[in-house]
Amino acid sequence: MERQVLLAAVSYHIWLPGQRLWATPASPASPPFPPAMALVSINELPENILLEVFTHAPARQLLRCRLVCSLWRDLIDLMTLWKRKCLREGFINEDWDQPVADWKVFYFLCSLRRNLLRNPCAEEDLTSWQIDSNGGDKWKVESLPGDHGTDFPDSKVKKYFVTSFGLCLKSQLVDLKAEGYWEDLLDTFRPEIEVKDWFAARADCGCTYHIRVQLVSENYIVLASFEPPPVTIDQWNNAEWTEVSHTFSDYPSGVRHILFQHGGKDTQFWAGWYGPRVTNSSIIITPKMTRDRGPLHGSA
Amino acid sequence: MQTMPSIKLQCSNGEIFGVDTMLEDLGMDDEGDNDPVPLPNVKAAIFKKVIQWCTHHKHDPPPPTDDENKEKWTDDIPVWDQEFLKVDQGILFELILAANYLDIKGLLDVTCKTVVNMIKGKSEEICKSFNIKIDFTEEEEVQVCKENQWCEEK
Repeated sequence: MERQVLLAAVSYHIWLPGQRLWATPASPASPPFPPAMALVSINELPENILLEVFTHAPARQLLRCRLVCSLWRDLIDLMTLWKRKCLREGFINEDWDQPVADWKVFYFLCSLRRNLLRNPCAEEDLTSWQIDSNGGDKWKVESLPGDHGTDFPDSKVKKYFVTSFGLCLKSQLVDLKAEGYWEDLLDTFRPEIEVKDWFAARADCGCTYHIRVQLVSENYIVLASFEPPPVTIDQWNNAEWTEVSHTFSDYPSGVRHILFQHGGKDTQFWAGWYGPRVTNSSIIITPKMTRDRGPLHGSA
Repeated sequence: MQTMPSIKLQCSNGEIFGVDTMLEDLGMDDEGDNDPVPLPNVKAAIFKKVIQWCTHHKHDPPPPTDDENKEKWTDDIPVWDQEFLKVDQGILFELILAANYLDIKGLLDVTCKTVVNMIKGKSEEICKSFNIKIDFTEEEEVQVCKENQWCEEK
């Protein structure tokens, strides 16, 4: 039987229009080819293809697309879509095997995740900090390691805030809604809130360090609190930097703000800045959720 | 390497293409006979465009596999591809299908991103541009709007 001769480069051979059957030597009884799809509308694409398109769309745009039609709404609510998006963004890798209650929420928590405290390392002087108490010679910013001080474990941190012989306290109030954490997210999923701070004394002087972190409601009612007793460090200490950390989990619903306050003073009433040094404070909302997903979101 | 053997690919309407190919993953073995590989899901006109894209991109470096370089946004489509994809929606969708069927990731990415860039404006406008029928009942529409309220608030 004759075989079709082909050119070496990209080429084609046109058969008569309408001719479907093609007798090849190898397949004596070739079936007619099924008609290729003639597409009119995007919704005629196979669902997994439409899902592939959606994985390329930014998250908020996708949520707005739920309003287009019921097919789009149902596809956008599929957990597999959001898991794929997490993979695409590098929030998880292929070996991820931990259970996730809701991949859509997990995606948003990963994309929102960052330090919610501003100017944590004194790079912008005292900007963004409210000064609640400015005793003695008041708050000051100095560079690491400082007199009678030690290096900070993370070389990216260059500066710290230092307190004086009268009580110095500073704070920030984080507005969670303004930071992108909507009410349903916090109340239904209650993601864990990790708080950290670092402090150190001067080797040549004793001091006390205070910290207080509170989760508060819209009306500033305290719903959860972390306020350990003040830490006292004696004179002739090793001036090492100490990390303080606390994780809020399974807190009540209604959290809308986080109040972070810290500071202290020296114990020997010396003029100048001999009180505790603080830096690298952070409040980070992790993607780890306290509870299973609530009723408002779609099925897996 | 010696000259690449022509691989014959037969599209849905019977047209046969010979390609000195970079489409290696068609499950071919070297000693295969010269029978054309059927591609019943791909029309000739679409396949021509696929070949055109592959030929233009054949010297592209392989995509990065590490997390650092994962593309996030849809505004990074190369200019040549943008021009290449200025086609009717129907053709664009068929290119997506072909890229998926032929497992050509680069083409699939760029065609999907092109569609995403066309999804603009309010839902009514989107329905119009894609010829989608709005099929929500009144209650469903209220429900979806309510569920979406928080993301309008920013």
